Amino acid sequence: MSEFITFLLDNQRMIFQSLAIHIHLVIVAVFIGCLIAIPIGTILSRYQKTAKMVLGVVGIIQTIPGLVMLGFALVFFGIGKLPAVIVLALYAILPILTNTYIGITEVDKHYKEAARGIGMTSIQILFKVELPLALSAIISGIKISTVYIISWATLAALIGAGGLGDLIWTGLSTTNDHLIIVGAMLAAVIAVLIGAAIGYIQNLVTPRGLKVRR
Amino acid sequence: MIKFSGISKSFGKSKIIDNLSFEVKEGEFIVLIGPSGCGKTTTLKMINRLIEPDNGSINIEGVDISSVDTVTLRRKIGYVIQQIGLFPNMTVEENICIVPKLLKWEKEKCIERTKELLELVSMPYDQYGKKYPTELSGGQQQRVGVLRALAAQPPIVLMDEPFGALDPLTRDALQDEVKALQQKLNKTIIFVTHDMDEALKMADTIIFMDKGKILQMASPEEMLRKPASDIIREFMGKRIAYGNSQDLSAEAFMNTNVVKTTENKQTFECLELMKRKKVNSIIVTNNNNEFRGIITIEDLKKRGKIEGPIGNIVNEDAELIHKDIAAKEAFERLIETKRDYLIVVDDEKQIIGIINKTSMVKALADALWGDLA
Repeated sequence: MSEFITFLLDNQRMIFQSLAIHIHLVIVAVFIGCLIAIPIGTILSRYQKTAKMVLGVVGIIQTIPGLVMLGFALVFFGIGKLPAVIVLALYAILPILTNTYIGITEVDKHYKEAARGIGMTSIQILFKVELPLALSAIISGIKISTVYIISWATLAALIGAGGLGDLIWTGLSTTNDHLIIVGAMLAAVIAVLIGAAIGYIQNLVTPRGLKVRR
Repeated sequence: MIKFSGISKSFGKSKIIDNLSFEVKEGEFIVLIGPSGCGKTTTLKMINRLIEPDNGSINIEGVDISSVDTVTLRRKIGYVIQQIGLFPNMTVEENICIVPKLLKWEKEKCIERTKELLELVSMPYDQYGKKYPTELSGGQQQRVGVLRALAAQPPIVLMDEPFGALDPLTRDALQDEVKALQQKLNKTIIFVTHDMDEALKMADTIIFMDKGKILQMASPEEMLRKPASDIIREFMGKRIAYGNSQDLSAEAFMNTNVVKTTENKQTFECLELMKRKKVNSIIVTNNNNEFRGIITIEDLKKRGKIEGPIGNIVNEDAELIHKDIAAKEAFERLIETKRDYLIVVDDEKQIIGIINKTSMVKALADALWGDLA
């Protein structure tokens, strides 16, 4: 145990650096994922037939193993952070997209009818009624994505993006147990912490009226 | 105010609205009623263009609404739905203020209007303004729903079975409140329901629809008296069970609780009896329970002697009717003669009851709402 602590102290700089890169990768990937998924999910909620198709296709992409995707990215974009971010963002899209789409389409139709009946434009209905009511679902999607991407980002080290994956893969190739444990533990810990943080934000932005249940 | 001219609408192959024409006057409370699928809700939703007709035109204050932008149109028409549809992410105040805000009212004016409206339904702003819909009871929610529709002072309010989901007591209270609000604010209200009691209670004019056509457009009274078809009669149910009230006799409505006394009683005893029964006149009979006359408190005061039976001073001037005469005739005679009551006697001239204005009210109530007893 003391050996492990000495190891941590000796390598703290490298560990923190990997951690920072890892978090950075995740944040950028999820952010891009949101930028793509939320508007598309919103638009898809207007075109339900197209939506089924698009969601199907995105679902298929999701089933392609991450390693394969990274391979492709390596071929097209070379080594480094860029291909890693592209692949991770691609994976971040699906949960956010489905949750945005479902969140909006499942807003009770009475609210939409009332909104239309009192003279809101469709843009107003979207921003004042549908999106606020779907917000909780959308944030759930972001949370799922983030937790996924934190673990998937460990693979990104394989194409030279760095991050906690670096520690794990180096540990594996040099049979250094300490490195593997540190990398894996940190990935798990930040997944739990960030997941909890997003849950907290979700609770914070949900209006009181949506929380009270009689 | 609102004029439908030759409106038709089909969904797929089925014709929902069939060449509908009618006119609504300003300040009128119109109730659309009929069996489900009769087209009443479709008719309502055409007024704010949630549904567009295939043929015909709808004019509001002389303007063809198909030429008006839907958003502009809807902001001038209040809309209340059965499911209430208050936005759960907004407070009571925010919900009420939606339309004024869309119309770019100043913030202070919005708040003032909210206070004023909440006051109308006895829900103080300080207590309810910042609450969320889920924190209110069903009745309170729909009150707010109605207020939201009234917020921007639209001349017309559409209500689509607004009280359908409420318990009977709450519904009753809200019906009264809405009717009172409508009269106070002089709104034109188009109200859809399938509940005939509600229609009779609220409407100035009832439009009874079936299969996309108007079967009858009439005041509640007229519809009760002369339902235009069997479907309407069926819908009215027991409320017109006394539709053939010609057949009912005076006996059916008379009050059998008659204060009477015999002719040999003393003045003082009569006074005591009047006091005890809280009446100002009593019927005097002979020993065979046959009519002798009536005596009023004035008679007693003027002509009553301390000693001697009242039989000496009875007033024989009273109206007697036979128990089998038609109730309607009895009521007519009661009104014509301007008497307080008529005395009902049977074949043996025995007094069996009286017909007074209370009996008349009871008869009317029975005819309107079925047998109350």
